[in-house]
Amino acid sequence: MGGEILVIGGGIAGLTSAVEASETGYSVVLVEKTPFLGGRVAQLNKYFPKLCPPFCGLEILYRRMRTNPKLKFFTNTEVMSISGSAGDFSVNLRIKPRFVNENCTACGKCKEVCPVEVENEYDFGLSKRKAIYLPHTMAMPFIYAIDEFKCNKCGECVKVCKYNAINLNETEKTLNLKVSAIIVATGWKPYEARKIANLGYGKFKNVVTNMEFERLASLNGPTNGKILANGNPINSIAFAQCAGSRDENHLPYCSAVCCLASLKQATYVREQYPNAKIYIFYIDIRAFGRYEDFFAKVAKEKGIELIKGKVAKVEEKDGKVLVTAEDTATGQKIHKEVDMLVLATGMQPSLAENPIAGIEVDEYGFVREKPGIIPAGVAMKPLDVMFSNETATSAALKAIQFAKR
Amino acid sequence: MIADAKFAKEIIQAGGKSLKKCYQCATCGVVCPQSPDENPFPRKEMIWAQWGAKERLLSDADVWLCHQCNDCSDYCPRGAKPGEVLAAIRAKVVEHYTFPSFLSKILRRPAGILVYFAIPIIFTALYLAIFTPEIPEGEIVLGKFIPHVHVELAGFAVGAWVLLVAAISAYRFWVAINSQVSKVYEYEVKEGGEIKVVKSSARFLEYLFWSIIDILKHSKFQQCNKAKYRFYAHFMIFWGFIVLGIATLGDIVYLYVLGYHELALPITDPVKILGNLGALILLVGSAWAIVARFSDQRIGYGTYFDWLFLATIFAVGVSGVIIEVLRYSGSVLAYYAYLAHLIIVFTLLAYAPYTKFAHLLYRALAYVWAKSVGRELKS
Amino acid sequence: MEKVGVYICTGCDIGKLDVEKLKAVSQEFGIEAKVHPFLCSAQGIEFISKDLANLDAIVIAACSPRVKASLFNFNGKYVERVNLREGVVWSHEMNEHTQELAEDYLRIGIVKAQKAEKPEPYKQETSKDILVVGGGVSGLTAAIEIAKSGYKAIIVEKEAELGGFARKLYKSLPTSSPYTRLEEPIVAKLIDEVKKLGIQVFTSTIIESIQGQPGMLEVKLKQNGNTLNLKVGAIIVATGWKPYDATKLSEFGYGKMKNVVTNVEFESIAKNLGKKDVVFIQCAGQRDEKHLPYCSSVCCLVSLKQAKYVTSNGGNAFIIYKDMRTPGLWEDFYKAMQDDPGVFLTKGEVKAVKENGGKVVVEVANNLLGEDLTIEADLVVLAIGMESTMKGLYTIKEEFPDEKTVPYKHVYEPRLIKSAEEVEQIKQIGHILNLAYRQGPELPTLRYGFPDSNYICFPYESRRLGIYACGAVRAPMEISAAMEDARGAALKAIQAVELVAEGKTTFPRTGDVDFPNFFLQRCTQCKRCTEECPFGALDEDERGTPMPNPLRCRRCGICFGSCPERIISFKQYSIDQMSSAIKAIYVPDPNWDETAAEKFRVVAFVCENDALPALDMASMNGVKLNPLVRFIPVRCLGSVNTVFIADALSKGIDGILLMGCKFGQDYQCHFIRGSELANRRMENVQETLQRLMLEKERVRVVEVSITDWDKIAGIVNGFVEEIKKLGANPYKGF
Repeated sequence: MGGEILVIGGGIAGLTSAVEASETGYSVVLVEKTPFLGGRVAQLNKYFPKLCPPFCGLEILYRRMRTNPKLKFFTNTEVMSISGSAGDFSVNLRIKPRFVNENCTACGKCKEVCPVEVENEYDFGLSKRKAIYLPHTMAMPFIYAIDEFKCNKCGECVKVCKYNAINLNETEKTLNLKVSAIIVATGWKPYEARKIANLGYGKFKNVVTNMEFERLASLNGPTNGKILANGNPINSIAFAQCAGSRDENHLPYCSAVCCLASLKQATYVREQYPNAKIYIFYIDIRAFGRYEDFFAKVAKEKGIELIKGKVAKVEEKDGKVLVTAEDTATGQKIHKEVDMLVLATGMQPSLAENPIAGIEVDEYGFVREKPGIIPAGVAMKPLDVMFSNETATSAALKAIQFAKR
Repeated sequence: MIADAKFAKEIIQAGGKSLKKCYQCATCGVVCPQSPDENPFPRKEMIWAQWGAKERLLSDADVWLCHQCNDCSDYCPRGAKPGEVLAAIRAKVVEHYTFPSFLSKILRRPAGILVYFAIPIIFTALYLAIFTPEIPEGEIVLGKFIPHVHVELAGFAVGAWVLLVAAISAYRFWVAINSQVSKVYEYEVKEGGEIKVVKSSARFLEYLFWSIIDILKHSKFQQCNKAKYRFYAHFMIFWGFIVLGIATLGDIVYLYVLGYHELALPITDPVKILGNLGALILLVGSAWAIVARFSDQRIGYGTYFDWLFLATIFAVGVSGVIIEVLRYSGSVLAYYAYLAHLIIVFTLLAYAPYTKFAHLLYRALAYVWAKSVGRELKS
Repeated sequence: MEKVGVYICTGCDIGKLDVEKLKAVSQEFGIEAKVHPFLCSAQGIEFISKDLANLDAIVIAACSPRVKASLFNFNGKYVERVNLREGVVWSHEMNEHTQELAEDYLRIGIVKAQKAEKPEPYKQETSKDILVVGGGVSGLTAAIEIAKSGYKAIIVEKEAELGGFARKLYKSLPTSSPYTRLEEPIVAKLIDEVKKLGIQVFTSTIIESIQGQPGMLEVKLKQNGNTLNLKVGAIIVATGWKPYDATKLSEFGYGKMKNVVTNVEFESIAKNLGKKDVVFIQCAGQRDEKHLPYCSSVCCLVSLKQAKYVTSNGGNAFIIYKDMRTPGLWEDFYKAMQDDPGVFLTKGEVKAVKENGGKVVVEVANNLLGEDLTIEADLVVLAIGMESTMKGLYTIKEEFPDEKTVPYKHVYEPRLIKSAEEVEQIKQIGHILNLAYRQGPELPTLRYGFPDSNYICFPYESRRLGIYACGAVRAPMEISAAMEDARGAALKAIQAVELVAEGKTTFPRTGDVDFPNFFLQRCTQCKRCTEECPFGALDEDERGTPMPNPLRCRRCGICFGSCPERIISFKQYSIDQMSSAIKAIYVPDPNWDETAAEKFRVVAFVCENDALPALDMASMNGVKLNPLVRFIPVRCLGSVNTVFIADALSKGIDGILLMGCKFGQDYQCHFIRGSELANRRMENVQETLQRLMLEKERVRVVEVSITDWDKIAGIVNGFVEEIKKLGANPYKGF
């Protein structure tokens, strides 16, 4: 079993580089650590600046994968180590058991009988799921998975599965691959907001992160897409930019997407609550290039106030969130009482805390390129989806130069 | 306003090394427990410092409302250490207003340390040359070496000098912080559509009284979050001085009211106990401040201005204790220690208007000003 | 296809249907359907595989075509999926109507399989060489990368020398951690590498014309009056940018004061600058409705870099910005420059630039210092923006509608053309590609003259297969970004030459070899197809007869949807196939079936890219739909021919719903304007309805995005209720 190009990570960058390289005629193996493809974008409600759903693009990518014999993928698979050099890498993979095989028709009977309910990481713990699960109805592969650590092996699911798709005795496998080039598209995770002591995350219920907010606004999220604070509609909301980004105490770099993400999220609020007050506290609005159009459009909307000054103090009062910042344009402190505060938390490269032997990273955890080991997407630097896909396409080019058709 | 690149560089040299790092997010003024809602500090001071807005900074009383709690530096996302920058600005303010300014400029620079010690050493040498005191035999009695009356006369001379300098400096500073420059920015803030009128300073003495109460209680320092130690350390140093002052008063009572000829008091004497207690408090407080200043590099290690003052206080305490130990152990070295102690005490007191000691004056005035214009933060 | 096998799965609740009746439906076509309880299992696949030798096409009556697609793949044999799981049993209450729905779906599936034909790939002798237009950083990088990947690259540069704008730079931005030191411009190294790799370079050369289709593009070059001919497979457009016209910025004193220069001009004086104090005015003529509304992305970085030129000569640099935009890791560079004691920064608005002796005085309001700031300096540098070299060119016809044509809603800035002379005038500006394509000589642009992609997911989407833009012509960007972009475009160009060599198309239907055939004997030269093809695949002869270029085609079927004469068809997606599928729907005849009055029939044409997955998701989320509706997937709503609608209505179908993607400027249609065209064609449909004396409410077009599954029930069931109110189609039973 071998492929010419290995892609690590099944998020948007990994999928794009895998699809582009394989459609150019190269054999590609993609590995994804979790049981499902899609990565972070699958958790988003909409993309900026078009406000279109991420599943639209994912659907096309998945379809291209399904009809492409040159592209193989493994989920639940981690890269343990990489050795060798460009043109001749040896990669050790660990395939964790899924306990559910290809026979699964996603009929959903197992889920109904599973007695174990756990926090749903797809919704950042804002909802529950069963130990045997599909995160959402656009999941790829469209096969259930069992949570290795949460399943109590009661066997109820096995009893109801008519298709002989569940094997609770499945064990971990290892695999060695020989490849010519490796595209590292390991992506990112939201920065741990609890570490930002003055912003109240984890202390106050209605302080949420921007990624959690995506889930709250998503139709397939914990509230079926209704944005609610304490179960009630929103009258006012604040967005705190640079929550952890551009901050020496946290992520010193700019995460490049959060300004636009918050502007986008302001449109979610506006769509559901035409009269809600929306405050965006920022240092610099980084709507570069043609994103400026989007910024100009949102800024023009009524009831959206942009305040130049970082939120530095957050308190709670009668279930409301009290936000304080200094408006640097007027030199006055601003206090706003809002129903919800969204922290525009930044992106931390996945490899910062979970390194892979053989992949070199910089002081922040971003991958350093070397011959045959090619970063793509946020593994390379903070990027939005469009730029991630550009780097992913570029990575595909660099990879094919080491591979044989 | 005119940008003054030179002045910005001067602040950097005065210890505001990190000021360029500020990118104006304004976290500092919000986390600051001392900063009011209207025109909070230190964000504006940071950009004034970056652009060298000299006139602004020199007439800005806000820098004295800062107690360097360092909550700002703790939360600063850029490591710009506003606490440290404001300390450097304060040093520049002291340098600017203290009379005569040439001496002020010399003493603020690290090289000024030579002058700092040269003057008392020369005075001491002259004294020794003129009066040729001899090391007395027998029990260690400091008054036998240098008569108390000499020390007292010198003390009066220094005191008179200090008061004169302080009065001139204080006047200049007071005028500046009440000048048009600072008024325009500070108080003509529309509140509910009305322009707030600057309150008169007719009730100066009343505000001064309450300011002194604040100082005695350290009520502002108590609000610090990050550098809570500063409250305790400063409180100890401050009250150590006061206790020592009271003990000195006791000495004077012994000498001139009760007619004591000598002050080689036994260790059980109430005045001696008080003196030793004061010295102990001062020593612990200053040692604590010294150690704590090394604790967090994110917050900064302080400027030369800070260190000179702190080191002098500590040296006063240490040299006093050394005299005490030597005296009770009967060593004649006690006399030499005494000389050294006198020199250090001279530097502490005679240069008070030029060193960080002057903050007592400037900050007190800033308190008065804050009360008079209603800028005081309600706690 | 003659030999069609029908396989019915009874797993996943499909068994709740009356399978015997389904088998009977199959028998209507003379086919003995086979039933299996678990068709996607290994045994199920084996169950089908053993019949393969005798089959041309396989009808799988099981789950949605979106699942198990790679399993039900039988050596490329035609597979028709009949969606009984998501489409019937999971999304409907079980009753007689639902059973009839399943039966109709099976009929449609079998008919489609029978009518499908085996496609023959359009294979030609193609070239895999790639032409790179523009010899700046982007073009050089693209050419180098193409060469390194084993393909032949050819560079065309209109200037006498390679290097483009980057050649004029004094220093470059740092490209690696810790982002503190300026670098020597990389362009010289790139030029060396181009030489070393032996890449063919034509300088002082312009393109006179490009004809043909990817894989076989005939390029005529003009160099010093000589004409050269090339045949290439794909093209990369890397013609870069031009600075915004600073003479329009007299408010900042440009053109009036000699000490006010642009950031571009400053690069050339930087070398011999000397000790000078310099004010940098950011966003000069940018983020400004009066000038360039967008942000040029690079100017903050450039000014920080140029500030370094100033301070390394002992001067002071004052930067007045709107927002400091140093995204991502560029923040490190910003930090490094902040730390420079000679750099002064504030947000602010420049109120006035004045001259005072030999000095310039800049007044800055609304800054962060709390009062107006006056800066005296030796020089003012205006951070002016970047414009695409394509700005102002005559690109494609749809961007220049005349008074007779209705502008497309997806075009951001249609420039209304009043006369033919006006067109000629614009064409005088000159061209880059000079494509001899019927729809226009250049790449379509998105906005502000940038031929950028509208898709976030697909940044290299090009409406001209085999032609890809990169670098600053596509969007404002700095050098390292342009190099990254050039690599992306190079990959797409390589991919294109490889795909077209096998007669395949690119995404979203990558690998599809089936292309449209034109039965030209019946063509009336109405030009609808040549006009409407979003990809400019069709040229015209003098009479207006379409001249197809299959290798430019993306297989959306919009041409086939546009043709009133029904002369355009794919082998596996034809007018006959679709019409027959519609006719296969069993419409109860009121003349002898008394239940017919209740059994309304609605046909919904659904876009297979977005609406179909949305239906699947609705089904999986427990949404229940009215069983009177038959959903028929189409490649694009633009491929729905009005004939299908007429056929359906005249057969007695009571209502027709068209579910397509969002259209307009933020279109989600994967074929750019398919759903917009479907809407436009409704005018013709209204005529049909009038002719048939039917209510216009019987046909409706709706926009559905892939995540709109919560709205599906409202749309579909609501439509059925409205149709019921209108009553039955009077043509039933005719």
